[in-house]
Amino acid sequence: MVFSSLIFIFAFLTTTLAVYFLVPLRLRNLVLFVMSLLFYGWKEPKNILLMLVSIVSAYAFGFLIEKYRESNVRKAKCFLFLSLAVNLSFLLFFKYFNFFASIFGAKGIPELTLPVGISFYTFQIMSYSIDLYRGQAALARRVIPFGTYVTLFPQLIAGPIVRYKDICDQLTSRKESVEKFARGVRRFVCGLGKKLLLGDACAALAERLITNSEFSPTALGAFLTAVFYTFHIYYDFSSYSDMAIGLGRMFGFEFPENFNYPYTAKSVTDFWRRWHITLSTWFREYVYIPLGGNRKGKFRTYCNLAIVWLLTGFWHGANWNYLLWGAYFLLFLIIEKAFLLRFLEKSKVLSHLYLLVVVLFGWVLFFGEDLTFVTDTVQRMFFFGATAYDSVVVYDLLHALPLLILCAVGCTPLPAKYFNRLRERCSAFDLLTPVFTVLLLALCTAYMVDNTFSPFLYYIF
Amino acid sequence: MKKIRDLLTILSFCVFLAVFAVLFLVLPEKPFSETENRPLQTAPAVSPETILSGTLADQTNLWFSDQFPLRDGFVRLKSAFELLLCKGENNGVLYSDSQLAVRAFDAYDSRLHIAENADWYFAPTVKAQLERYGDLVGQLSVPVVTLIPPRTVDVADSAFPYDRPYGDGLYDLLSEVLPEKAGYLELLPDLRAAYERGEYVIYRTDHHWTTLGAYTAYQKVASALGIEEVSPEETWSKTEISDFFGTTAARASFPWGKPDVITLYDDGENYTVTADGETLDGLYDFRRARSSDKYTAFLGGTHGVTTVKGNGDDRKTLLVFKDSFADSLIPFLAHHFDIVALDLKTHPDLTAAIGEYHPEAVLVVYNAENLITNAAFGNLR
Repeated sequence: MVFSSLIFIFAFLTTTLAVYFLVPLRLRNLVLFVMSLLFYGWKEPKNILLMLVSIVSAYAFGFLIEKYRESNVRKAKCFLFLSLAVNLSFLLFFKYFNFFASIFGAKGIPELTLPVGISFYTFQIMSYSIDLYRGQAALARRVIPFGTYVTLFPQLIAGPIVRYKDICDQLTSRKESVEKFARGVRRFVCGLGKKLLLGDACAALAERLITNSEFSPTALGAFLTAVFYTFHIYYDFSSYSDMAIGLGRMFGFEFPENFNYPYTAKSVTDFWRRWHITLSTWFREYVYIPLGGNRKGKFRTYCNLAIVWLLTGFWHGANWNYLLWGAYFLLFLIIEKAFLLRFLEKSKVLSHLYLLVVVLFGWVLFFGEDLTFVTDTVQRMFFFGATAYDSVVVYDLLHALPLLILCAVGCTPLPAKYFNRLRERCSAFDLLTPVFTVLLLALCTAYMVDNTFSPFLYYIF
Repeated sequence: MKKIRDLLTILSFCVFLAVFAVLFLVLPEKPFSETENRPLQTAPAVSPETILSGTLADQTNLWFSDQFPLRDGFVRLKSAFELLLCKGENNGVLYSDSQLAVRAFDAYDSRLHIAENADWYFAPTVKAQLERYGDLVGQLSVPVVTLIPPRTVDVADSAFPYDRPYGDGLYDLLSEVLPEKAGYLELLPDLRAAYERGEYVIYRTDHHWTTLGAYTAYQKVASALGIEEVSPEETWSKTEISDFFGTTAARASFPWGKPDVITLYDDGENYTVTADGETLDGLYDFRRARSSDKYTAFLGGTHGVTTVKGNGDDRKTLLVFKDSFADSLIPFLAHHFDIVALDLKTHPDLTAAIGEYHPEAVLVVYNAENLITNAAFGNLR
């Protein structure tokens, strides 16, 4: 189920909220657990089984790790590795088997499809086992709260990646409140609007530009494709986190933030502190620092960075372009660490421009599962095999200008800043926020209804 | 104050969710959408197989959006907001006060390669189709007339700031490639000039030509076949169907805009009309004029084989290979000929049909949108 669908909002969420707040406190985790399984298995019920196996194995190994953690570190370590191995093996098999099979020229399994969210929940489960081993998290004694942690539907499919130690207290004793619920509603609806009104629109325009480029490749078209992709991925992904955080709040949870205006960053280093924060945190905490981080000399630091970034790229998908994408950012991070950061600090405008250009090309690489798309787009941007522009591209650019401006402004803290300032200064305006929220929700509903609006062209033949 | 705001936020959110959830459950299901003119998804059947295969999920998603309360209103709200964002279009339909037009089509290259929603067409593919067609008609012994009705976006070019990147290239290609034997009659210049004079030659909300547009084509056909054209406006009786919202309006659902009017002429003759073996009441099906797809009033809609027989023994036969554009043209031609009209897509065997019906002439009517979005034209044999 996706958040931006009618069935999620008007059937699933409505029911879940009603049941959740009607049942006694002690049953609330169970409600979330059951509903999350339904949410997860909606499209492919058999994936539930896989997830349950992961949960039960980590839960059971938890007891063993806890038992030997202090008395027999070697044994504890052994069980930690077993626990991680079980979890990782599912991820590796479903996500990477076919890719490696193709590298070694073996026959893959074409029917193998990636279970939704497996990359996210595997990382969450791993964080539990590792933190438990390190003594940073308490043992999960009851299976329902632990199962709820892994399956919690707001963040199950696309993050934020919540570490067990950050949320274990909330699992057993959290306070739902009017203030939190209301903030959750606002955040959720805002995310929904970002996704439906901006993200999807950018995706559609990028799609159109790519289709037309087959007939008439233009430099402007290639450049705009990259721009629309840049906005599309931000509004798609960050809106998902907004909705997840908002939904979490409705049920009394506080999830960590996942985005912090990444396109306002002034270096690649800065960008990755603002983009998909929970993933970067995960890799830093469970890979980079255990490898020695930057404490073992320059060469080791660069090696560690390389490992982290190739893994980050590979985590996004089993394809060469994701590896290249990871390597691409690795390159800039190393250059920045070596000398560039010092120069970037001198000019805000230039450093920002530099970041945007790097990110823009980065997304072209990211979207280019078919690598010819990458080479074609980049070549065309530089007028190779392309005209400067044609009438359709110019027409589309002019008619997308309001959208582009909205998208650009929406990437900055300005809208939130001025909206909140207005609310503080004028209490009448503040009282109107419920109205704005419902209006935006109605507009989003309109976009969701129209999504499947497919009139039958009745008489064309 | 903040507490009140928060309570109001929660209340309005929950009420919004609950009201539509309840309305969805309570309101009766609609099996058919008048505005979109298609059957709607109703409550899907639940079985272990549909659950496991995920079809239940797909159907339920569809069911929700198809049966959503105030569906048409929401769809209009969306298109209004798209216009508010100055996009000038919705769902690929260009908007102006006086005209709607689809801008992008699924350009056909081969069965495996279709560029969906392209502003362009595959010129080499279209050219190859036209060449095959040219070769075919070159071998025929009967006279052939070919009509390729232009698309709305080409005729109503002046109504939109949208600048078609290929200009009139498609129509230039037709004149260039089709041999004389094909009897290709250019329509675009006349229709466009008429449109720019303010004449009602194409519908505002539908992709077809109007009866007047069809009449323009009829005049050309008449002169090509050497028959004396009639002027229905003076001598024939006339019926008008108002409140026609056509395919283009259905696809875009703009919240405002005038409906179209369909004009039906009757020359008073008693024609025997059959469609796929069934006898119809006449050239027009007035029950359909009250339905949502009013254009099907012409000859009762799409059929594989339609025949029109008039009174008198000396009437000759005109064999028509057609798409729906011909339906509004045939009433004029029926005045002069008995008609055998075959759907071009399902009846590609032109040579066999000539052998069977011994026509005086063959008329091929296939609109430009069809020409660029499928391969049927080139598959005639």
